Amino acid sequence: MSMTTATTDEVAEEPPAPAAPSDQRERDRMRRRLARRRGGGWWPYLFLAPWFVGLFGLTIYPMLDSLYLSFTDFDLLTPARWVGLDNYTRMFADDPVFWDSVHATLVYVLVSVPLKLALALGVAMLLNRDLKGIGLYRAAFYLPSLLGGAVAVAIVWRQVFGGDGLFNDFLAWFGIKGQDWISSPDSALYTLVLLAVWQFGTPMVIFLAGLKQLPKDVYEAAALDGARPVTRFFRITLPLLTPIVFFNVVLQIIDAFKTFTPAFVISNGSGGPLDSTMLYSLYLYKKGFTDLQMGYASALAWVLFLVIAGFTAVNFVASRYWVHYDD
Amino acid sequence: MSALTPNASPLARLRSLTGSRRILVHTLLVGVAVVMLYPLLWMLSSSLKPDTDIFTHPGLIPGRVRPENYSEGWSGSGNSFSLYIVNSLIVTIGAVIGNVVSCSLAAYAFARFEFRGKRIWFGLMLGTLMLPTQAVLIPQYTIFYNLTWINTYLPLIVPKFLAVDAFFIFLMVQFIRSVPRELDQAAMVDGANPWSIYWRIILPLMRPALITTTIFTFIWTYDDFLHQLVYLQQNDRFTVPLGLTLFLDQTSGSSYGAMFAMSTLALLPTLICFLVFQKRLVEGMATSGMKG
Amino acid sequence: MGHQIPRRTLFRTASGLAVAGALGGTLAACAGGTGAGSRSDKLTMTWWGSDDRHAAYKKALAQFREKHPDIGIQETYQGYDGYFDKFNTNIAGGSAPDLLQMDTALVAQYARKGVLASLDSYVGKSLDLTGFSKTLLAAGTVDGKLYGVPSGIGVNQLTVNRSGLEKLGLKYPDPEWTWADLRKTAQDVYKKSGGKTYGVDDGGGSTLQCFEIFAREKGQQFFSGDGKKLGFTADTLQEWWEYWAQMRRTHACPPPAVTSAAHNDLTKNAVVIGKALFTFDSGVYGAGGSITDAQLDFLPTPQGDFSGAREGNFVNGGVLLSATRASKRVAESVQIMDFFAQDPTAIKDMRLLRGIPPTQKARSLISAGLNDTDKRNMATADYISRRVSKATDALPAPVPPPQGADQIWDLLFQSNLAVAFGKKSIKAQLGEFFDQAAGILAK
Repeated sequence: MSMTTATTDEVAEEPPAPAAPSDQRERDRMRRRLARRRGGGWWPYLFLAPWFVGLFGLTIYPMLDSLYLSFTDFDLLTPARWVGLDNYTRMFADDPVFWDSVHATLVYVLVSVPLKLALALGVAMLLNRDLKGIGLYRAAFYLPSLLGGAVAVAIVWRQVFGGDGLFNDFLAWFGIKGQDWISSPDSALYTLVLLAVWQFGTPMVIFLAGLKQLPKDVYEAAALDGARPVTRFFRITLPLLTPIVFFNVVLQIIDAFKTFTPAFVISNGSGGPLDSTMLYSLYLYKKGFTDLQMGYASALAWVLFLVIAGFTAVNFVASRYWVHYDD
Repeated sequence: MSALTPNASPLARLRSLTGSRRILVHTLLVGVAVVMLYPLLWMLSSSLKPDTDIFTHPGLIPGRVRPENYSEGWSGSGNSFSLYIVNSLIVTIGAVIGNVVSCSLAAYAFARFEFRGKRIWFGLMLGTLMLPTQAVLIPQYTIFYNLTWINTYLPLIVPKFLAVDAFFIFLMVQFIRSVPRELDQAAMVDGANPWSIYWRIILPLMRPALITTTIFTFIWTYDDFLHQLVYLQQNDRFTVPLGLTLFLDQTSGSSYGAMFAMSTLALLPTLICFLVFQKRLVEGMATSGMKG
Repeated sequence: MGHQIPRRTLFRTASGLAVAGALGGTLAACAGGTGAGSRSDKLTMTWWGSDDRHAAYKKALAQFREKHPDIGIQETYQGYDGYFDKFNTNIAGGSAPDLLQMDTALVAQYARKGVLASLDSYVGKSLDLTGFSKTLLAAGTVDGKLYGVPSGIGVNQLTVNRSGLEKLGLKYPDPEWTWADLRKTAQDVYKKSGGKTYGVDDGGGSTLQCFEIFAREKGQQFFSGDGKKLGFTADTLQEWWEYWAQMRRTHACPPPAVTSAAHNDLTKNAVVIGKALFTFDSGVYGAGGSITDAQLDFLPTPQGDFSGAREGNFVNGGVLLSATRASKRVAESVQIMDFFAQDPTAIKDMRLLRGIPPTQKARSLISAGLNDTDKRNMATADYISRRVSKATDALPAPVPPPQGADQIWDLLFQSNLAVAFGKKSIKAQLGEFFDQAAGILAK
């Protein structure tokens, strides 16, 4: 790498311009100035061109349209009718299921995200080594995420946590008599949380990729200093990994708030028993597509948007104090 | 900067565990892996059972074996299941290329340039992640309908070339930001323009992120049901998730065995994709040593 | 450290969007509206089913094409999952199919929203409905107009694990049995099996083929004629829930966890997993296939054992074929409906795949090729439809359920579950049920 050139250049930056500058030197200086300003002229827009086309051509209009629909009564089949804030007032004043879904979703987010991230980071550390057959282990750990929300996963999950399921067989070893976890309103939500935690493959792969990118010389130095593994993890690995940890925290929270498929397949679209697994997006979908109240569903969507935006904003503000960037 | 060969470094010594600890790690990994693999095994076993046994005898070892599930599922009703796999691969590979190219371009701009309204654009980009898909499905459909793209793969592929997956832009921004900036500054001083910096420095150094993007785009596109359901109308355009629903109908009797058989087969492309690319992820380790 | 990840951006973004939203209204105004018909130059037809039904439809349509080479048909088919999501999206986006398989539970909603074409002007001309009974056609009739041609008759019957009953040495119940007989038989199953098997799945929350029948035996419909109110009284529902509370206490039916698990999930149905011998869910025996190896048989729903009990059973319409109003090919769609209703080759191709065929002529055409269980299924259906047509005290067949009906059914299911889990008393739940139901139907 041209590291040496870079350093000499930094040093050469200060002296006054020579009396007869060659074209080459002049151009170099221009470039350095550009580099310092990092404006790049029209370059950033060139790089962003596809994204701009996508944003204005495909993304913005549907978002604005759904915002508009949130102030209407729209049944999908006949034209939308303006109703002002009706959908929003109904939501907060007159819809007990809305509050059930808010409660279920908050529990789901607050319990599943920390557990999932901790497990993902732990396993990523464990898998970040040269071990025979490590690829197969990685595949095994990623497999549940590979299956996603497939019918098969739902059926298996209902089998494992059912009354005669594997989980109760396991508890029976310890003399504990289990119940039907999936169909009891007090425990059903936690089987969903477990499912989310079990599918920790996505943040795990991202952590792995992040660990691969860590500079090795720092470790070398630490290893020579005789730093213990735990110290190495907290002093070196974790701080260097914070941009990736931050990414995973932000995205997992957004994702958890929007969770739809697991709740849909595990409860067969009902959100039951007794609305205990009625996650917010599932409720929104039921309102929009099953009950044909797309106006109301759009209002639900925008309330969720604001909540997620709030959480994300807090995350970004907080990141100032713990995320460490190398640039 | 001295060359780092993994074998000679103290790091390599750290990584090579002593015998007993190695066994411990293996045991731990095998134990957890079995728990993780249980559903796959259950699905595999169900794919070999007659329909009447799948739910009445849910154990892992099939009592009666019925390999016909595979042949019947494969020949399907009208279209061979191979058609759905091919269609899925077309959509998936198109989406992967689109995401890798367009998201890395946008991410480079966000991570390395200052420009007017950058924070607003960045916030907007994240904002597109925050609205549930179900809420924008119908207006999106209207756009593609007016473009007469319904019943083609374009609504599933073209948006990826326009970087609509903010997830990957944000992911790549975070990776680019952990690449030391001195590298591209040095190149700039050497006369490289932003394009060649992107091409020659940033892309190679963010390989782990590109591989991650490839894996996730592949799997998520391959598994996506809702968009494929809405945009693909004709059965000969159907993809794997749509093909699988053809076996199930709660009102007129379902072919669960065939569904599980094809679910198992359909898992192979994603599994192969993961195995191939996670290997690249390991190789990335050796090359990224140079950047210190 | 020049670059900073934006921190306050999100707030700005949110407010920026809100401003832009005011403009968005004009953009969006064109998004709604009824479908403008498909753009394909062929007639588009769509249905749901599993692979047997797909193959049968395609075979029959091939025959149709031979007879009508002038009509081009573009067919699409899928499972039930997502079928109506797709249909709704198509209509909202302006591209509805010309001809579709319609659910009897949803036909009223779509007809009243102006999505479906009325077929009355074709009946007796290009649409021959000879042999379709009036009660059967009621399944596709909304506010006096026909919007769908029924594919078959659906009757209300229980599916019985016959081999399980025989194993316990219990007598097969008489088809003229009552609710008290059901209770007695179900309790016997629990006792004789040594507590291993319950009798019947919990019907306290199931509407179709269950509570609706009970209400009709009391002379009450589930929905009022105009679909704006419930048609039954709180007393009726209370009696019903008390009946099932007693069933649960005596283990005649399984505890709520089993009931809850089977909600919308056939694979967890009590009969399928061997927890009960009787089920109200007709899906356990699909045409020609089953997911249990038990030998299955069928029984009519029990009759009322109170004074003044009426015939409560009725004949329903399987699935429907409907045309969309925006379509420019309604006349051609009707020709296809007629073909499926009357053409012998089409009837033979479809066998029992869309329910038991609607006409006597069709039933006799297919009876030869059926297996034992299919035959028993059809015999029970015949028995019920004959009994219903002879009954003088039966209420007219129910009108197609109004919009919001599926929410009411779900409410009934959840309410029964809340009682069964002990979260609510019957009295308290009754009040809540009627309050919420009124709210849903008022919309």
